[in-house]
Amino acid sequence: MSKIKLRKIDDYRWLIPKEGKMRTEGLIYASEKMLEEIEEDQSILQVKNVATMPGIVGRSLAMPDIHWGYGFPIGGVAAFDEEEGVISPGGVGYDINCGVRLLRSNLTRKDIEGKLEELVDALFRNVPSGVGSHRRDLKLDKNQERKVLLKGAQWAVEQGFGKWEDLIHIEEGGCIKGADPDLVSEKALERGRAQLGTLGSGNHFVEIGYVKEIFDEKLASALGLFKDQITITIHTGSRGLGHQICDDFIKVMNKAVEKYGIELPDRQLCCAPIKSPEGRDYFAAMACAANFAFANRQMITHWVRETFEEVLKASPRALGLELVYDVCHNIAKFEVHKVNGKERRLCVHRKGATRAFPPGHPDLPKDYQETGQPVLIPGDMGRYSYVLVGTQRAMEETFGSTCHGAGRVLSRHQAKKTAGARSVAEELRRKGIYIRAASRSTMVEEVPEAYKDVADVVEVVHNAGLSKKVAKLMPLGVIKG
Amino acid sequence: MGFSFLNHTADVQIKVWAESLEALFEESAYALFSLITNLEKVTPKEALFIEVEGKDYEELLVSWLNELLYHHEVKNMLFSHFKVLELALPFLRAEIKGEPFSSEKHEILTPIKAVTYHNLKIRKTGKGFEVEIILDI
Repeated sequence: MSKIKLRKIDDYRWLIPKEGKMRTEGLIYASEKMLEEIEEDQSILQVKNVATMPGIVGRSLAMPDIHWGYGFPIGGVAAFDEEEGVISPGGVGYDINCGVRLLRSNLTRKDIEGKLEELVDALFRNVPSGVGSHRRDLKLDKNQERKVLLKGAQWAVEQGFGKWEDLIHIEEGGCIKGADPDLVSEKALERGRAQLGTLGSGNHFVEIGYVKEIFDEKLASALGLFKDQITITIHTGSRGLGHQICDDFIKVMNKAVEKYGIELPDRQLCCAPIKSPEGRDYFAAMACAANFAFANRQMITHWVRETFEEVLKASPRALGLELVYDVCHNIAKFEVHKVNGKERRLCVHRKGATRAFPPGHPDLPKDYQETGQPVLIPGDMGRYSYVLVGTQRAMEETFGSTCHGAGRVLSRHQAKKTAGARSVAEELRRKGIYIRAASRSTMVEEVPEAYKDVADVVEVVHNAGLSKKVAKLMPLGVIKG
Repeated sequence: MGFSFLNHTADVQIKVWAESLEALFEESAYALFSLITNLEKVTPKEALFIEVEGKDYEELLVSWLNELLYHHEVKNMLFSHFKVLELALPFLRAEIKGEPFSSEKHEILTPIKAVTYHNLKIRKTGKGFEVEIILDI
């Protein structure tokens, strides 16, 4: 379908030459085999479209888990000059600060033998998932909600959800500065109040897994990971609050595009100059949603800890459920990057991409100064996930970014057809994975065939030098919305 | 008047066609909610009035559908009946009917995050209007 010419740079890099209205080149990270699949949809065209946006710095980038999104491709990374560039809600997506956090433990697989089902069932009870569910013991008034939007995970810790040490291991310390709740609509606030502390549906999950394989002993041990160790992965975002903020600001940006005379190939790319009132307002509202998502993952972490304490009748100290790291994968942030030898402050959009800062970066906590930033790459339901670390090469080539997950290859509709009347839960059970889902339908949409093999995706970013493999995790139990 | 689902890797794409713009808006809403749940099981017993604005028909369509998602989410309701009362730029007024979600009666098939503007263009055809809508799910 796609007739766009790509120029091979090496086995993992494919250049889209500048043509037409493109202001810069596009660059796709993929293996030759993956490229065939990528070429089947419109995602390469989307990389080109992003390259036409005003003030783009460096190339319009796509990670190997690229797939056809709306506006920006999913797996897209683009940086814009703070003075001349634009900021775009379509470059972040509806689920603002959708992200992943990983907890490690002092437990091994043996320690939870015979307890897995009980743990998963208790998690399913304690972490609200699916449409309309929420914790009965959580009531949020408007005033408190404003504090959530301003302070993010810090608010959650102040309220007793987790510990202050957790914040050190969250991107941006769990709070993006510059949030302004006054710029968030009543509707968004209303959606947020009912949904703080909920997992949501679709591909969001909490997974109990174990460390199956270690690729780098030294790095793994610095991250506190060891073979057969029990881990917990939490994947969720800013819920309806983020969706509403994105939708509200797309309308603002549609007007801004006319006001500032910005020419775009797709309406979903609508944007405004970073320094314009519309651009500043979007950033301040987006930061609110990002903070909401950080608080959300922090609260769920607390309930995960409580659940383990309750089911295993063990103390927090004995369990050792410590935060390895928490990353965003739908976000726009101001960061300093070296461009042609000069340091510049850029607005980096990552839509379905993860920050992957190298060892020695000033934004990393002390204990990760030597390892580089931990990067968490969840696979599809029932397959495996990866822990990686950021590299200098990523800093030089991709504004310190890497992939975010497996990336779909089948539409949800095709997935449902493929799965037909199969019992996905039963199939997973035979593989030793126990799953509880609020809806059978969302489970079917997430069948393994619907995704690229995350191992292929990770192989590309590892071999291209954008991040380094540390460990592979296997799922044991999952709860889903 | 009708709709069909097209393949889109990450999300869902719906194609909707109808004889008039009003019917196109109603049918799009019906398509959206038929993705969310089995509409045969939704009784139209509670009514709501909706009013949205948009600078053109495309923006109005997205605003209308996202407004429905907003009510679905905050009121925890499912809707199966959509009647456009007035459609004149920049306004749309409509009456929608449905009932509260009940886990015993209804199943959520596909939860939807938002309706997007990606490649959105309402086209005039010989028989009326058609549009392809991409949803973020």
